[in-house]
Amino acid sequence: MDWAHLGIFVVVIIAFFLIMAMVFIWLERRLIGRFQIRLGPNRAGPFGVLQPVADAIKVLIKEDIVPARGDRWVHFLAPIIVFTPILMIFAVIPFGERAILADLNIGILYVVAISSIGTIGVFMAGWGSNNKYSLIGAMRTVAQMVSYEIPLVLSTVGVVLIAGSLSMVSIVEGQSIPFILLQPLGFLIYFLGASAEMNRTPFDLLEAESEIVAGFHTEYSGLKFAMFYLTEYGHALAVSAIVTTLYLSGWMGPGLPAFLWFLIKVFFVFFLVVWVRSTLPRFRVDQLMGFAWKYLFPLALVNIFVTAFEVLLWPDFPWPVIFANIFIAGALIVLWSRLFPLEGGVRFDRYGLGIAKGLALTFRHLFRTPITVQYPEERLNTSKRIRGNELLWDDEACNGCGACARACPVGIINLETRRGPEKGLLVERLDIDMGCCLFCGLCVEACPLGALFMGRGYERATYRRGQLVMDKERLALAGGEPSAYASPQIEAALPEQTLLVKGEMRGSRGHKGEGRWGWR
Amino acid sequence: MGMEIAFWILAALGVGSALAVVLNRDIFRAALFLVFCFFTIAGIYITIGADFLAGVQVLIYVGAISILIIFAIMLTRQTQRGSPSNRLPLPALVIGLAFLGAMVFIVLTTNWHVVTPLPEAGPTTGAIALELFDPESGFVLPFEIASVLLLAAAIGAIVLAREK
Repeated sequence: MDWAHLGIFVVVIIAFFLIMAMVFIWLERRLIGRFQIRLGPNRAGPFGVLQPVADAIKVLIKEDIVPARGDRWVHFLAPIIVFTPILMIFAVIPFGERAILADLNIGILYVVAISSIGTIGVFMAGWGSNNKYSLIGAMRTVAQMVSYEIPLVLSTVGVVLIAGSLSMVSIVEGQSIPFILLQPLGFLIYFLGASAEMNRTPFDLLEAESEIVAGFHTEYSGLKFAMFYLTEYGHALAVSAIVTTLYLSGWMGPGLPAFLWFLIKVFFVFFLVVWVRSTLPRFRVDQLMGFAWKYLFPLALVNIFVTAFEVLLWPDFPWPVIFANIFIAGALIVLWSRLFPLEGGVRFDRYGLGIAKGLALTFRHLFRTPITVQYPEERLNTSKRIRGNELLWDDEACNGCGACARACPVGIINLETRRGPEKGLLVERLDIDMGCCLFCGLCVEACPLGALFMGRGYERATYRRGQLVMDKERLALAGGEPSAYASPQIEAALPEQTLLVKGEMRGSRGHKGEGRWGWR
Repeated sequence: MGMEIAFWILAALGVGSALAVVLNRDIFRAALFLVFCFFTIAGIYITIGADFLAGVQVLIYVGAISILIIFAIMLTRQTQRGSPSNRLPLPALVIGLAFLGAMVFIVLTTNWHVVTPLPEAGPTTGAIALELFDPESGFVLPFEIASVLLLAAAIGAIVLAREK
C-alpha cells in the first residue's frame, strides 16, 4: 500500500469516525427518549437529526475555561490523550473484505494496549483541573479501568484460542460460525467489561452527575469538553466495531455488501449498549469492584480453560458444542451468583429476573405510540381532578364568610367585606399571594358554598413577584376552568378530557386519541 | 532510511523525556514524562520489527505500571510541594556516576552481533511462542513456575494487607 492510498484511507476513517459519532449521539438520545419515555431531540430538523450539528456549533463558540490553580499543560493535553487512542483503534478494524488500514499481526493485542492509554488521559484531566470532584472521578476511573480491563482481556483470549490468531482479519475469516455462539460467556464478559471501560450506566461512576458533578470533566468547557464528548461516543463506536469483529463475524454475511453488514452489526451492538444503559441503575462503588473481581474475573478464567479443552478435543468445533457452550455459560453464571453474594447480601441470581423484567419493560416502551407535544404551540390538557396550582373564585356564590382566610395555614388570603344593601356581605377585596401559596387546598375544602376552586391551568408564571398576588378580577371564575378537586359535584359537568388544547395530534403512528393518553 | 529517521526522533524524545523525569520538580508531571518515555521505547521496538514486544510494552508499562505509579503519587502527601531534594547529593552523584560508567563500559566492551543488511521484519508473535513453548527446546516449565511464583506473591500481599 503506497502513501497516497494510506493517506486517503486515513482521511476516510477519520470522516467515518466523526460522522458516526454524531449519528451515535443523535441515535442514543432518540433511543433513550423512547426507552425511558422522555422527549429526546425533536426540534432541529426532521426527527431532530440536526441536533448534534447544533450542539457542535454551540460548543465551538463557548469560552474555554482553565482553572486558575490547575496545571495548565496537563489540563490542555488530557482531552487529546483521551481522544487519540480511540481514533487509533480504527486502524485495525476490518470494515470489509480488504478494507482495513493495517492488518497488524498483533491486531487484538494492539487494540487492548492502545485503549489502555486513555485511562492516563482521564486521570490527567482529573488532576490538572485542581477540583475535588474531578479528582474523585479520576480516582474512580483508575480503580474501575484497572479492574475491568482484566476480565476484558481474558475474555478475548477465548476468541484468540479458537481463531488461532491475534490478527483481526484472521479472526473475522475464522468465523464460519459467529463466535458469539461458541463463546456466549466470553461475549457477555466482554460486553460488560467494555460497558465499564466506556463508562456506560450501570458503570458510570466516574461521571456520576448526582454524586460528583461531572467527574473528571467537571472543569472542561468549549472545544476541550467537545473532545471528551466525542471520545465517549467514539469509544462506543469502537467497542461496537470490536464486538462485531470478535463475536459477530465482522463484515461477513449473506446477500448484502460487506460494509453494510458491518454497519448493521455495529448499530445492533450499540442498540444493546443503549438498551442496557437506559434500563439499569448505577452500581455502588463496592458492588462495582466486587462484580469485576468476584464474578467477571473468575468466570473469564474458567472460560479460558473450557475453551482450551474444547480446542484440544474438537479443533473444528462441531455444532453440538454450541449448545454445550450455551449450557455451560448459563450453569456457570447461576452457580457463581449463588456462591458469592456481594456485601449486604446482594445476590445476582435474585436480581437476574428483575434485570430481565426491566429490560423487557424498556423494550416494550420502544413500541408505544410516542406523543410529542410541541409545547408553546400545543398544550396538554390537564386531568379533571388535577389539584392544580391556581385558584379560581366564583363571585356570585361567595358570601364573604372568610372561612377560606381562616383556613389558610400561611395566611395569604386577604379578605375585606362591607355590609351590603340587603342582608349579607359584599366582598370589597380578595387578594391571594400565590407566591407564598402551599397549594394545600384547605381554603377550597373550607369554603361552605363551593365558591373557591382549584383551577386546571398551569401557566401562572410571571416576571415579577408582585404579579403573583391575585386580586378579585384575576381570581374570577371566567379566567379558567375549575377542577373537580374537592368538588365532586362539578366533576360530571366537566367535558370529556381531550389531550390537547390547541393544535392537532402529532403522534408519529397516527394516534386516535382514545383511552389514556400516551398508551397504545 | 525512514526507520532510521524514526529511530533518531524516538531516541531523542526518549532520552529527553527520561531527563525530564529526573529534573522535573512536579512529581505528577515527572510521572507523565515517564509514561511518555515508555511509549517512545515501544516505538523503538516497532522500528526494529518487534511488533508483539511493542504491544506488550504499551500494555504493561503504559497501561499498567504507569497507573500504579500514578496511584502511588495520589496516595503520597504533599504532592503539591513537588519532590523534595535529597539530603545526600554527594553520595548520590558518586553512585550515579558509577552506574553510568558501568553502563557505558558494558555497551562499549560487549561484542555486539551486528547483522547487515537488516533482516526482513516479519510477524514475531508465532516465533516468540515457539521460542517459549516449544516442547523440545522451550521454557514451558520455567514459564509456569514464574507464573505460580507471581500468584504466590499476589496471595502473600493479600494476606499481609488483610485486616485481622
